[in-house]
Amino acid sequence: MIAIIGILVALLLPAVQSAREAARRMQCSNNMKQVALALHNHHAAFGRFPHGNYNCLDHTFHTPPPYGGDYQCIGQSPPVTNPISFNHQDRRCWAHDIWPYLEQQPLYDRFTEHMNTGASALSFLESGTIIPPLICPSDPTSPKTFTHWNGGGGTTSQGFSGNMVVCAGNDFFNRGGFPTSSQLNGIFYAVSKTRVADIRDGTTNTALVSEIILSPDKPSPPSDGWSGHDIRGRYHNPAHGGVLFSTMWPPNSDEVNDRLNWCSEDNHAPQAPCERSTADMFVLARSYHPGGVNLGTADGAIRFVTEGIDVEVFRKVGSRADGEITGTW
Amino acid sequence: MVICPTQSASLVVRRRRRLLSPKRTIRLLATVVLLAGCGDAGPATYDVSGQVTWNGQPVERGSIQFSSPEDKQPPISAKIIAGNYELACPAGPRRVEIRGLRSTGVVDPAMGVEGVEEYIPAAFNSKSELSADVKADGSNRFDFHLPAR
Repeated sequence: MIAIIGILVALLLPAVQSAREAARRMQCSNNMKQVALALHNHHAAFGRFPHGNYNCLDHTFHTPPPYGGDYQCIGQSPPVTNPISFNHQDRRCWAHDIWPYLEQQPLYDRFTEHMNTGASALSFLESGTIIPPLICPSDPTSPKTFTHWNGGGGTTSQGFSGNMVVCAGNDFFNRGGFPTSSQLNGIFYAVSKTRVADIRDGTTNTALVSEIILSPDKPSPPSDGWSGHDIRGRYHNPAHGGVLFSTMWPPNSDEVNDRLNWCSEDNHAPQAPCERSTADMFVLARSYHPGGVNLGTADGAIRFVTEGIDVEVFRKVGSRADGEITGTW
Repeated sequence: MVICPTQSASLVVRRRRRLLSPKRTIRLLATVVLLAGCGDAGPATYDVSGQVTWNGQPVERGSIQFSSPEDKQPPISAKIIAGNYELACPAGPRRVEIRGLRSTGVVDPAMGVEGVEEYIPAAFNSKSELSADVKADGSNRFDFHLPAR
């Protein structure tokens, strides 16, 4: 009798745990819906989706006009200028632009005031404010507010990091290390101004937003002196591409390293491996949900995309206007 | 680690027992639980290792990636530590990309630590024509001695 009860309990416990994960996944999906609607609200107000990023990706000193700099992020080689004096570090991203549509109008007003002084988003004193819809509760590291280094200008950290990321297409963020980031094939990239009309593959078949797994920063400098930072999901320091994702490989490809300039190679979440690099950077959609990730398409729908999705199909989902038929997915 | 029995001893039925005695229930469930782990484990992989040098010097820190033909399967990658790498890769021809990473020696003011830069040119990674044919039998040692120019 005891054995039978033991077996039943053993069967039940995992079921309870998976029910709890199912609830978290639903909350995550609901949060993503809020983000998708906010992006559409921005589109309704401004006639376009927000910029993915205000800098050329991983070229933090190169901010395209009209945001203080002069460089367009399209060249085959970065311009040789005095980087610090010549170009403005902006470091805003899409997440700031949708705050007003996520019940954060007062915060957004103060942030705008801060940016109007010519400062970078990184030194916003309230950068630690948690924006709940940008969180996926399945991720135990989220919301992340501790960072290895401060943002300068009196902040104690580089602010709040969340799980929601927007789609930059199916390619690297900076192919070959060149600042190609204003020419990516998704909806969001450096100073992107994508309109619904530009999504010629159809809004139902084009990725808008998905999720990533966060990795904690290291509290003290690593012994080898390399990096304690993992900037994936770091909205106030998005200039290296940590707030975008690529559909190059299917969701939860946990054998594939994300590749970006600042990530914690030896301290990352096991399901979110990464390697540091300054060329061919990308971040993949990842989650702790068994079997796949939540993904919002440009029509505002949220769906669950399984890990088993065909590589070619997922790549077509990432690009906004490749002209190819995506089919069912 | 899941052991997949080709035939399970615990399924052998003894006649005189009650149909659902606790012991048999446990055995049955244990078998079901054990078998649940058996499935497609993906293609077989083979151990690959080797040495990487750049301009005659071992690549102290970097990464190596074995990509499938046409890039249709996710790549297999590994760190290069002190000029050596090890990874497990399915058999077949692979395109190889090698990246070398070194500190810029300059503390990034926004990050508080030294930045990194890649020093091996695109001809050996983004635009690589390096290749390796991973074999199902025999040695899979691939050394790459990359010239500076």
